[in-house]
Amino acid sequence: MKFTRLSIFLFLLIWASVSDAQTDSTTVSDTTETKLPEPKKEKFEWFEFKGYLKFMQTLSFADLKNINVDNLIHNRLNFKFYIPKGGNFTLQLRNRIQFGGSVNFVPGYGEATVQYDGIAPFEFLWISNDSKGIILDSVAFVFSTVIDRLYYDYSNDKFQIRLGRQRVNWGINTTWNPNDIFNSYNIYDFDYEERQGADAVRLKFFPNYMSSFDLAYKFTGRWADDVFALKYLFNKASYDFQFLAGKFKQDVAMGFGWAGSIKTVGFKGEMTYFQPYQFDTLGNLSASVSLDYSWAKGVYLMGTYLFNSTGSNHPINPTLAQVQTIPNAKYLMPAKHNLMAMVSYQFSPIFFGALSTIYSFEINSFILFPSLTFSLKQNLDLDLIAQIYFQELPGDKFKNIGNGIFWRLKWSF
Amino acid sequence: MKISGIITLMLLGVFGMSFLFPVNEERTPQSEDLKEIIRKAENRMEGESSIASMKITIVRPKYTRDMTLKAWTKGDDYSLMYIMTPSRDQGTTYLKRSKEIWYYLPSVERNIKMPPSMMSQSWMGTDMSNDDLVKRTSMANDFTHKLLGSETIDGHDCHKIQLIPKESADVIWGKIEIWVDKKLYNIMKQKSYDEDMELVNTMNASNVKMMGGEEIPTKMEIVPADKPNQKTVMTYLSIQFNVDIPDHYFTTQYMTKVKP
Repeated sequence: MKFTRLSIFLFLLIWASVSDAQTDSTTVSDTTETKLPEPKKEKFEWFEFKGYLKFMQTLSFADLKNINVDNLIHNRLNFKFYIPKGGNFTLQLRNRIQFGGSVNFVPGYGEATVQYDGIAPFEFLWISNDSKGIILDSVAFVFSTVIDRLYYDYSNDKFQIRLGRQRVNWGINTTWNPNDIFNSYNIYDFDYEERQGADAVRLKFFPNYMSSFDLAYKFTGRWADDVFALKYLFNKASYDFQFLAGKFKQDVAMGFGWAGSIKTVGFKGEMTYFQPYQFDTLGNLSASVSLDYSWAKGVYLMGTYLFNSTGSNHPINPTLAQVQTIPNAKYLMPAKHNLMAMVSYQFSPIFFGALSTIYSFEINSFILFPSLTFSLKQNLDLDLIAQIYFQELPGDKFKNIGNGIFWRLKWSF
Repeated sequence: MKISGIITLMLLGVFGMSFLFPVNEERTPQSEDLKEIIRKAENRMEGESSIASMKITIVRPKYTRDMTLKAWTKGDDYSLMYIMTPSRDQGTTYLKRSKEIWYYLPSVERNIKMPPSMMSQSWMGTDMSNDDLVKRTSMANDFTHKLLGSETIDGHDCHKIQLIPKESADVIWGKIEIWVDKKLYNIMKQKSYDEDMELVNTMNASNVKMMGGEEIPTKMEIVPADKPNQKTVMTYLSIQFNVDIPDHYFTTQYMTKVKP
């Protein structure tokens, strides 16, 4: 019951800020005419700090009789320290407090929040919901801290070195990234936009202004899971091109990607071929291509196709294949052919809406992903998001198999 | 001597005379002069290179939203822009190199190449397009020019000039009208029309004062034609002209590590 009360309190808080925002109208002319601040004097700024505080409530249900409610208080802190003689340290962490249905009924839920694909001991589970697999009735919430960025970076106009937990992001497309071989992720986990970092060493060399060699090694503690690769990026004829080659877990990976346009339509693509060391095993081609276009009135359209050569071409049971596999660049979706379409519209400077749909051929699954974002105040946003899943399960008809409804408040500082 | 030779000599004489004895001081600018006026006007707020901080306010009947940014420009081809506030967007960086645009999102640590169609899209919910902001089109080179007359704007005597895009130019506008200060070459007013010659927005400049050693308008208001009760106000907080900015600033590598 306390949680319901908390939700009501948070809703009241939103309305308070909305009505507050509306009273801004009286000061419109004042704000634009106020005296300008004097420009700051240039001095060495050695420290940067920013972050956000979010509250998100998730309602998940397969039918309306059983609605599971989960709550998340999510705080992110980003620090950057500049060293006067060159280089900088970055530290970024997320603190999460979770409570509700999953904490009360799912053993191991706390442990799952700090699972990490890395070697550095940067995950802390302060309060767990279970002990040796037994749910603790006395514990009402799970509290964890994960440091997902902690690295030293030094660079000049010719080279760059970065050591520590960092995000190595080689993807080009918006949704599916066969070239992003250092990360594994879940496209439905929209709340974690920064995504996990890799414990890695990275060297970059810039032969000229618009080309680079990027060499990265990701340590996992097991040679069989380590990833290392070299990427060459260059710009030619108004296109960005990249080639990559390396070791991806137990495969040899070779990839290629581009970003450019056909007339005024954006045209991007990326593909990677993964060949297991055991050369008698068949390799896997993961490839995506996307087109996007926007109109002056604020409508944006994007379409993406993903090919996964070892994906399924018949209906499957998602409890086995989808849930247990953490998607990565080699295996981004369970189906062989997948299409995504997205339309978004900026209704006003403070109101943005988007609708995404993903269809997987042959396994016959369809996902609707509408979202609305309101800027309530200068630094306060409200999101309303839904995820609606339809699928044909083996021996059954195409039907709604699950839904998630989310509302989220985000205060950035 | 052939007839054509005589005509050539006469023509040379006439041009020579007009060069030595200008017909009058206030002569009407010719097409080539217009191009030069527009080039001067375009360079006015940028110089050979510039570093500027500005505040942008989106004004709507019921609310306002502010942002501040820092921008580096060099010549016509290079510009880099770093968002300082609001905190949600802090660190988002835009890079323009010739006709290509990228933006960098620090939260996902990725460079994204912008499709050319996005140039006409509103920039971050303001009444400005991406094109207005990164000035991909060159008023001097991508348009043909015609003098429409003189008008006084905010106390400044201005040339009123019409710009029609050249067939070959990849321009999002159907027509532009600009009012250029005759003495200072500041663009004091601009009306932009779409391809159906419907007015899209009007820019009004004001608060001309000394900043960075030049007399420039420090405030610009952009009013969309179909929504006269809305506007976007740009105010210069500081500007430095002709600063030596290293070339490597305007690269996709550098945009990931800008320190404002």
